This record gives sequence, C-alpha cells and structure tokens, in this order.
Amino acid sequence: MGFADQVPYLLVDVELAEQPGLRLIGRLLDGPETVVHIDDPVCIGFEDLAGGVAIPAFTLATEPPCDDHERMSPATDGPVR
Amino acid sequence: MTGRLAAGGQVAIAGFAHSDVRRHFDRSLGATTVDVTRAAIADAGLTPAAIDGFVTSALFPTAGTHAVRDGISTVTANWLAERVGAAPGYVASFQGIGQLTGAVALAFNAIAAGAAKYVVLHRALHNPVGGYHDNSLAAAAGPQQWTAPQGYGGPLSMIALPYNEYLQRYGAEPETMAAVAVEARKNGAKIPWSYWFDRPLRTEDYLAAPMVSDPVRRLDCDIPVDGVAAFVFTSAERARDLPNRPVYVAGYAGSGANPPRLQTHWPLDDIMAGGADTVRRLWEATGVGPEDVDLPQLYDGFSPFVYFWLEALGLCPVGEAHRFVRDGGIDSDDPAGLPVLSGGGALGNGRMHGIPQMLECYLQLAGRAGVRQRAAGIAVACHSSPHYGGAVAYTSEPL
Repeated sequence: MGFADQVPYLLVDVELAEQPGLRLIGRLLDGPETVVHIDDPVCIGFEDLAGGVAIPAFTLATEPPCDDHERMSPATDGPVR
Repeated sequence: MTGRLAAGGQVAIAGFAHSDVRRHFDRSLGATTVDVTRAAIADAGLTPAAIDGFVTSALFPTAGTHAVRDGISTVTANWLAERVGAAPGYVASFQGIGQLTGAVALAFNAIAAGAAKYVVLHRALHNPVGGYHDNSLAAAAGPQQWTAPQGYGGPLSMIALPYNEYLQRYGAEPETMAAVAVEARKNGAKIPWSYWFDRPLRTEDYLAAPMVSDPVRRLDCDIPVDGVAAFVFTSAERARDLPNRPVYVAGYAGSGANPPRLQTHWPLDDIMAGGADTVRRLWEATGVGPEDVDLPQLYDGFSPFVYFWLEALGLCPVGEAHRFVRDGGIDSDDPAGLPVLSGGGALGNGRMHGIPQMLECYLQLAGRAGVRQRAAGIAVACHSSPHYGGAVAYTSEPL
C-alpha cells in the first residue's frame, strides 16, 4: 500500500446514528489539521478513488444538517468516537 | 464460570534459555532455535531424550506481505520437535488470541493431563528484510475494503485510535507516555541479551522521535528483531527434583468474545470491557487478586497497552493510569513503585511478543535475576491487549 504521497491524512472512528455500537473508520475530508473531539457529529460522503471506485468518508457536520436525500429525519449521520 | 483452575500450582517451569536479541541474526532463525532449545533443556538438568512435548505460538506478527517460511521466518513446534533429538508424543501450536499465554496454557494442560512429562515451550521472532509491515496490496476485497483504501493499515492505526480516545476521554497529556518508554529502556539497558543493552532512553529523545501515527510516536513501538527464547515445563513434583528452583503456574486466562469488528479495529471500550472479563477470569482461576501481585509484568508492544493493563488489572482506577505513571507509580527503582516493566518489556528488549514479561516472572521468582534480583512471590505476565490477549499468574510457592 502506498500512502506516502497522501500523508498527513486524518482518520476518524464514527459510530452510526442509525445503529449504536456499529463503528466505521474513514477519512475526515476537512483536512489533516482539523481539530476533532469525541462526539463531534459528522456527515457521510464518498471519496472517489481511481478506477470508478468510491469509498465512504466523512465531513464535520455543520448547519444545516447533512444533505442526504434518502434520510427521512434531518440528523447527522453519527458522532466521532 | 469455571472458577479455580483444578491443577493450579501443579505445573512448573524448570529451566530456560534466551538468545541475544538482534536486528538480524547472521544465521537462520531455526538454527538458533535448536541451540536455544538444547540450552534450555540442559539448564533444566535434562537431556533432549527426556523431552516428550513441544508447544509454541508460531505467529509471525506482520501485516506485510512477507512469506512465512518454517525455520526461516518462524519456527513451528513440529519443525523444532524433529530437530533436537527428542521423542515427542505431544506437539501443539496455539493459534488463538493471546499467543504466548495460550502456548503456556497448552504446556500446562498437557502436563496436568499427563499427556507429556517434560514440555519445551519456545518462541522464535524474526525481523524480515525490508519494512516489517510493508504490503504490496494493490486491490482490497473482503474486510480490507473497509480499511485499506482509507489508509488504515496495520497495527499503528489500530493502536492510535484507542490511544487517542484515552487521551481525550481522560484528559491525559501525550508527553506522559515518555515515562513508560524511559522505564522500559532503563530496565532493558541492564539486560545483557537485550537489543537495547546499555542504551537507556532520555525523555527528550522520546519526545524528539517522529510521530508515526498521531498520537503514537516511533518510540511507543517495540523494535522488530530476531530473537529466540525457550522454557522447560514439567510437573511441580518432578521440578522439585531438578536443579533450579521451580516457578509454579497458578493459572491463566485468555481473552474471550468481543463485539464483532474488523480484526484491527480496537475501540477503547472494547479493550476495557474485554480486558475486565479477561482479568476477572484470571483472578477466578488463581484465587489471587491485584493486591496480591508483587510483580505485574505488563505488555508494552505499544506503550499505551501499559495504561490499559494497569487499569484492566485493577492496579489503578480506570482513567487514572496516566496520572499513576506521571507520578512515578511504575518506577521499579522506587520501593513504592510497581515493577511493571522491570524486565524491560518489549520496548526495552525488542519485539519478543510476550517473552520479556514471562521471562522476568520466571527469573525473579526462581531467584535467578542476578544483580536485578528483587523480592517477589506472585507475578503476572501479560501479553497483547487486555481484550485480545491473555495473562498467566506465576508463584514462587504453590498456592
């Protein structure tokens, strides 16, 4: 795995709002210098990689809540753990 | 629960041998393992023909794409059993969670059951040429699709997340961890076979080392090495007729079930909940408690494990390990301190995967620690994480 050209990057461990206890690791796309705290809410998005592959990634939640057309209630996708 | 281990105190360690710990041996790992094993058998006052059991945990703990070759990058119990001139009837390798402590359990069980009389337990660790965790992965499938593309690769990320949780949850200062590395290296510097012999560490050197996976610094990680250790186990009764003072196995506990996660995803709550379960069963199996243990040898393959084990074993309250360490609580030169790294641990010896903890328990309880000898009667050797490892309790007299 070659990630040397991407360092530094910021990984977060996110508990899904929909299923407490289920935790997902991904990059925080706000940038490596972002200060994050336990319980900060985040929204899920996707990061496009080469070859038509997209992987889950996160951004810190801001007002208004996450833009997610499939969600019924306006809420964040989960907090940083 | 099963309660007190019926055969506790009926199995003992009768001898040992240890190779020098080096970045790279100038001969094969297997050849060194044969020599060390023969030395351990002789140390126990025996000949190879008397050995009828061989156990190990043969894991080569790399996340990289190195080939695993028996006798070269690992040494299995079968490989060794065929090469030391013994006639083994019991050969087994532990592949579960808690590698070294699981192998001790195999030796204990075989002897307690009468399946073998004299069992060699060995551990052979190898540092491959090239980066230890170098990985040529170009595509990720299965569980790795949730970690590899994100750049969450290997044990560094695995420990960085729960350590960061610990720092945030309890308001701990990252700089406090220097005391763990300095304590391990102070003691490792006194051990002639250690990679770090005569090379203690200063706090400023710890803090100046590169951050490798924030908040994990380079010197929070044990250094990969070539190294071999071997112990001879037998019944307590037979051990009393052999040259060395026996060290008795009071009991053991391996980690149990954890929440379903990716194998390298270790939330702090998992570590502590699983650790509490491991430790509760250790006390139940042995009939001892944290206040009885005068030599708790904590696993430190990554330094945050020392905090986790201190709290899991009940040696300090949960959330307080960082203050305990900051205030000198693990200074083995202070009569009021707990000697949790007196054997140098992995940070003070090299990546020997639980051997330094086990060896220190043996040497101190057998009265064979030389100038490092201290008074101790009940010792615990920990391995890996409290929720993904194990612990063995040893005593100088059968309980």
